[in-house]
Amino acid sequence: MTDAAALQARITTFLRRRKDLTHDEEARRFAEEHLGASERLSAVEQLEIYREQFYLRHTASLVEDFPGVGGILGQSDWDRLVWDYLASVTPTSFDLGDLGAGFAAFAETCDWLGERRELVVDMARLEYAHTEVFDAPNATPLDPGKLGAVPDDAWEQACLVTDPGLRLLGLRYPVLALRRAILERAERADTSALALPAPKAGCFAVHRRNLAIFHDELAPNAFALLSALGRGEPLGRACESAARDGGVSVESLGAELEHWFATWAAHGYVVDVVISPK
Amino acid sequence: MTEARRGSPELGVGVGLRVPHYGRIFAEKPRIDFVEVISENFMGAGGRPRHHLERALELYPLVQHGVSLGIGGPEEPSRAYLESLRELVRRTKTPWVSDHFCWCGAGGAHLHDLLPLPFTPALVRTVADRARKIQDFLGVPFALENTSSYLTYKASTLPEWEFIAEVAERADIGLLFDVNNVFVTAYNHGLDPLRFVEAVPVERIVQIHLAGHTNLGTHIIDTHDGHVVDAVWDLYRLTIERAGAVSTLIEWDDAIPELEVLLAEVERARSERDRALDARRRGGSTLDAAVRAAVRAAARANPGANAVERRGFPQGGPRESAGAERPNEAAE
Repeated sequence: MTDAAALQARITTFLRRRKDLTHDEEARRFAEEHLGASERLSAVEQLEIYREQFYLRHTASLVEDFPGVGGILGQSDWDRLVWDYLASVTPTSFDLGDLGAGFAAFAETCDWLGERRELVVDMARLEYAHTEVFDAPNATPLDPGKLGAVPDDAWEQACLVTDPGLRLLGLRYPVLALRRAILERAERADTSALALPAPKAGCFAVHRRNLAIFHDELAPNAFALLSALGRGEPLGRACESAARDGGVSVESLGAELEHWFATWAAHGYVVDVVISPK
Repeated sequence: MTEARRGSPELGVGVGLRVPHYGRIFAEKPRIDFVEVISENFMGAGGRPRHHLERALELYPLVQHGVSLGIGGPEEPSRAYLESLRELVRRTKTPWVSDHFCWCGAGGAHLHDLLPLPFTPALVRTVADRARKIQDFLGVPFALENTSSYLTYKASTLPEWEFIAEVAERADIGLLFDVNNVFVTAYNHGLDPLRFVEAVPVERIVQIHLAGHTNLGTHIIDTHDGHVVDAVWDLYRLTIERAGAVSTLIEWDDAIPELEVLLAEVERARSERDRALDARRRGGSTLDAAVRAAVRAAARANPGANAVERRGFPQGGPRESAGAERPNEAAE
């Protein structure tokens, strides 16, 4: 490691510290040894400018991507969750949109959220799904001729390729309506107490179509089948997985397949069909 | 547009294309000579960002500017990042692509900041070697920008302008010269901004950045949230008097104003540029002794601590993100 590299590694660790570096004796000693002071600021005060910007910039990015979580928690608990999260993760992607990738999983570990924890986790999963599908790669729509060209005896081995702009979410709380309400309250600058909803489970496709994001509610069996297909399972095996998960027969799923496929094709969930070798 | 600057076109005066102005710029196509986009906001992206990029390409010459390369960091720039960047370069046909003389993190961490480099001969070699390889890989002229800095290193043995010049010469790359950054750095570290401008190798400058900043009294933060200050206009004219016509871009990334305000700043840049080019033709300068003294005084002044809201300033302005999305509301 070069001298510059060693210096940069030390600075990186200091900039990720949660507390003001001007009160940090180790940071002060490091700064005095390696950094210059200006006429107006000491060396450690200059280092602190970058540390403060690290937290402010990343907090601002999470505020932008997770307005629903912020609305549930209120300022004080939001600050606690975000600062704990930033102290626990190392941003590695150049894309600030990736910063929230672990936010829901982190909230799951926060016992202090109490009864709100599942609600917060659901909202974080929903809002990160928005971030992912918002600028996911564009896919070419499914060529209907490709479906028609699949031989009848090959359907069992057919893998349906789903749109990169599709995410499937099984939610425990009605966070879609709650998020809408939170955004509307913010527009009205309404600071009255927010009524949090009771649990209400649902299965949803979060999907980008024609540059906008849509939430489509799915029947549980359709959700299970689409999830299995999204994992790359061929249709035959995906039907078995979905039937097992849903406690129904494969035959009963078969009766729904045509209708589901027509809907999924119309919405653009499926963008290609590939026959996998047996 | 005229051919100039190391084979790169001279594009006139442009603006950084930012989300709050998309609607009006795409609808009204105001008199802007070119736009600059932040590469990272469009790399690998589909959806609305890619749609807006295509709209911009239909309307204006477009150049790409990056904020994440971290060319002077302890690790080599990411191959995946560079491949993504090259894909975008091929799509936009940008006449050059730029990033910063900086580092962005160590040990795999990305701090999303433009951290200043120690100005040493060893880092000249490292940065130049990487810059040359990147230029070859991307297949378009590559340029690096001087950053605003809030700290200095005792290990630095070269003045910043010498570091910049040596890297550019050794790598045979261009410079994106940010005149506001010169002023910010000069203020923060007690340097002479005129000396900086007069020492930079102007023949390598392919683009100029102009922006506003926030003076906190003890230091200036490069916030891009206001008008270009008078001392920076003076330094800009000095740069043009030395370099000739160079593509010039107004950056306004925070507290983004109505489009008319931004366009007025573009007109001001055209006017200042014309003044400087006229002086250059006459072999004179618009900076007499009094102006030069005023610039130096501004870079030393301490206006006292200003009460400014403490907030994070995103490099390159706001991202186009899903945060404000209202699903199921948009018409298909």
